[in-house]
Amino acid sequence: MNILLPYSSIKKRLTTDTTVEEFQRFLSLCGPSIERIEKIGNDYVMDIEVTTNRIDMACVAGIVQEANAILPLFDKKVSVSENLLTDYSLSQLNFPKEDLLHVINDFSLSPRITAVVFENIILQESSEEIRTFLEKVGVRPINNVVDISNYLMYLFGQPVHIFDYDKIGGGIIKLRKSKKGEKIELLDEKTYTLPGNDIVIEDGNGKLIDLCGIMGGKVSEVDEHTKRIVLFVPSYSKKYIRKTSMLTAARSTASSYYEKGIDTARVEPTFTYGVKLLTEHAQAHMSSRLVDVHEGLYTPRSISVTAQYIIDTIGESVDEHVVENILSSLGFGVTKSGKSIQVTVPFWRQFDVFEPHDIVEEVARIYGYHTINEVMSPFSLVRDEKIREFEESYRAETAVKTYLCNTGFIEMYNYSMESLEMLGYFSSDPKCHLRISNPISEDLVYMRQSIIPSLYKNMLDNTQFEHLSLFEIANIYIPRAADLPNEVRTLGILVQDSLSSLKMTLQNCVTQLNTSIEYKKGSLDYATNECIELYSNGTFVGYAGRLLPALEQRIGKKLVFAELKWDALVTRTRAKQTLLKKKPQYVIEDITYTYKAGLEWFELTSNVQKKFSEIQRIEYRDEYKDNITMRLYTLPEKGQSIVKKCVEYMRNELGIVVKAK
Amino acid sequence: MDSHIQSRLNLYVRSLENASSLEDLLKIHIEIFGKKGYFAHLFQTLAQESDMEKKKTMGAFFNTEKQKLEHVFSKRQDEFLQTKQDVVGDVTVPGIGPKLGSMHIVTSAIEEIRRIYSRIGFYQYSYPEVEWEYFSFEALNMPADHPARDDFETFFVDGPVSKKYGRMVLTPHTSNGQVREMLRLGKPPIRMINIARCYRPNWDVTHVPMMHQFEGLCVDKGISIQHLKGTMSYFAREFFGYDVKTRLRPHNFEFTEPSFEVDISCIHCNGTGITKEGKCRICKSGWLELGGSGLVHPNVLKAGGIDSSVYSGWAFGFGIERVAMIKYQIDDIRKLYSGELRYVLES
Repeated sequence: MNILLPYSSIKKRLTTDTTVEEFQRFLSLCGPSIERIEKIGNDYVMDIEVTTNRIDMACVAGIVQEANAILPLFDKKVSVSENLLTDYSLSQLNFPKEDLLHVINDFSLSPRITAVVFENIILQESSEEIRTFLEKVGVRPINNVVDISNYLMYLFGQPVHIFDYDKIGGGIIKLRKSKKGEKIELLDEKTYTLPGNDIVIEDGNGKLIDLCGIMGGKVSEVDEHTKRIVLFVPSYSKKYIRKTSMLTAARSTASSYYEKGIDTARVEPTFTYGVKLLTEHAQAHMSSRLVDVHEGLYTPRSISVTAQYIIDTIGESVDEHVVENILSSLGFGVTKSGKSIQVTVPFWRQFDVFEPHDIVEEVARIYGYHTINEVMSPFSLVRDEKIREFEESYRAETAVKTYLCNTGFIEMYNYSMESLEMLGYFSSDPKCHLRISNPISEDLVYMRQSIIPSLYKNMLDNTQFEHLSLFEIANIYIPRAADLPNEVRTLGILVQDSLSSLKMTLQNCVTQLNTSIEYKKGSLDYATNECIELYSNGTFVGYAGRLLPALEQRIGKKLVFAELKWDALVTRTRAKQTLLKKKPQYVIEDITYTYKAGLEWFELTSNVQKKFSEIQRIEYRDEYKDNITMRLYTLPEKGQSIVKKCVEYMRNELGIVVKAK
Repeated sequence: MDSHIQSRLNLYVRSLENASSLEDLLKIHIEIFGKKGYFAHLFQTLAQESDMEKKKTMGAFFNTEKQKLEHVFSKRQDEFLQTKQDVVGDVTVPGIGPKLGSMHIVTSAIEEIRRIYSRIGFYQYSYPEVEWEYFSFEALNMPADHPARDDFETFFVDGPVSKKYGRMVLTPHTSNGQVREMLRLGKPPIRMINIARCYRPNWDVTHVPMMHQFEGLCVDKGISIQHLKGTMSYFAREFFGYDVKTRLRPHNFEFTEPSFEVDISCIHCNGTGITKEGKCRICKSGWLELGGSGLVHPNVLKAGGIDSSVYSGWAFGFGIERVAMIKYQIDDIRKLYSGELRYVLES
């Protein structure tokens, strides 16, 4: 998350000879990223990015702590004049005995709540310091009381709420989970219907007065008539807050703190400082006993780490004194025992420092990633048959992509998911497809089992172009009973052309792979009868054909498609024959015959070739209506033509009409 | 001498000399020297001549004349063959004919990334896109309550649930390949890159619900932050240019410790943060974020069956679209998958 902080608020607590530009650069290298700095008057506003594990840094106290550790490594002088996290404690306060407030808590919802009632408050404009602070961080000042609660959050990283005490029925604050459908109007004057299981506060009259961790309720708002208030400083369980803010779309700075998880210990200095500010700025005084309900609080964790481990991880030597100074300037306790260093973790780091490697990270980043040498990783050859297969498949893919692009095809990358509508166009059963449980758009719901619908959608979206030739190579997803789906790498082609020309493209493609392709008659729901199955050396590898008129009509063009299973095709490939081999002197002769249904090219030529071992190769030559000319490349004994025998065989045994030779 | 023959021969000389094109010239040549040409006719007539003396004189005369004409012919022919004819119109207009297609920008980026890593001994491999929660999360040290695992950050898939590995998800990152590769190879060394589709439920100017990542994983004895830095900087220089600087910033990922954000100096403002038009709109104060990296978390090595007291490693995961957008200056990531060809073709 990003947070804005005025540079002056840091300088007030940290004395240093650093310029703001250096401050930005040094902290960004070793700690939180200060992404931008904007000059406002005599001050600067820093836009700081804080990672989710370091929400403790997202406040003035946290940045002061980081700067205290980082700047000395750049030879800058620092001293902390006010440590917000450790200088303030409840023991500094004296509370009256009055029992005005009753907090009924559930520790699974809130591990700690501190609260107290103030009376005789005077509402007015905030002090110059607080008002300008809030304006710089983008918060609109309202009045001294509300402003203090916001100000505290930016100083301590701990959200604070202030209720109008007299609007809380019976002085009772009861935390509970919401029921689905409950309604609450919040301070933004919008009414929210709750999804259920949100943390809410109910007062003695059973009305909801707070959507916890997100925003206060309108009914308990501080206004110009307010005389008594409740300073309310709670911790909340982060998972509830995140879910509520995502589902209700009610977001606030407070929720972005809570959903990352805040330690319960900072409640104390925040509360103490809050009492100080309210007393000073609202002339208020406390009129109730202290409410501080919590479960077991954090006891400092101890971790043992060796200097050698730190050195091995960084890759170079770091002085042991440097290590100790870094850790103690971050607030860690450091004691040496023999070869190891005992490190105790302060409360504000309890959620991100657990193990020795966490300590290494602290040392390494403050020592400075920028100072560590760049060394190439040592070379190591990994031999593995599967890797070789992958490489081969990739090489083949590149060859085919290059060929297609060189002949005018455009490569597409489409989403792996498709819509119900598109499945309908292609008569695909949605039940047979993997479905996304939480789709974000109707267009992206089903995991595709064919590339063609995606390319078809591309055609629909680009009707202004003529003669489009599109292709995509990607995975399709075939569900399996009790396992992950089979992810089949697939080449899809859709082109405004004739099937004959597409077949030539396919033949050229497989030539790039040193294999061959054969056709058999096929049938697909979305294709006309001009549809073929594709085989490579006897293995089924896909389909090609012409799209049904219904599909063509939407685009107004003739469309032919092909889809090939990549792996089936590539495992059929073989090493190319050497070019140096001398080509034999073939006898080349043509035969023209009339097509006979049921005896398609592949069957016919296979039969003829099986019958006559002299035939080395049969080539398709030409076609006129249903008359087809084939060319035989033969190596007959004594150079005698076998065409006559071949024609006889075709006529008599296959029952084909052959033109007289 | 037959004056008729003489004048005929003279006529031929003039015809050859005045031929207007190579085609004409060749036609005349045939007329004179062809099988049924004039000389054939002359020699035929000569054969019937009975006066031997006359035959001899005539024969010699014909041969001389023939040579002369041949000479005239070849001279004229040479003129034609050496001549540069005038052309009508502008020879500099562009040609027309079959057009090239185009490779998708992601393919080009993938190819370049592969080449760069292949030079330093990294091999590519691939892993499931539809993945078990275990490999996308648990194995990567991301417990069940991690925010990245909820409905807002990860696509879940209806279907079988594995007792061992949980539900099916569309993997939100290529890091699912880390533990899979460790288990597949059995033991280090590992020098893997994984380039694949990943999915997250976001759709805006900088996010698309499907993107490509490339993941690097290096596991061996004695791998340190130095090695990660060296390799990141090698990639950045090869891919973006030799004057590009790299920096690591502290970051946080569950499956690496320490974790880094890898930045490169902005290639548009040369790392200054300022362009002629003012503040650089592409970078943040002179730096561009490339992606995340870090030393492999001991828990991840453990999940991959690797002893973290003996081996260590680094890993990174960058968005292909991100690096492509930086390199090729693409402003809106959605254009990459919109399928709108107006971004590719001229209409």
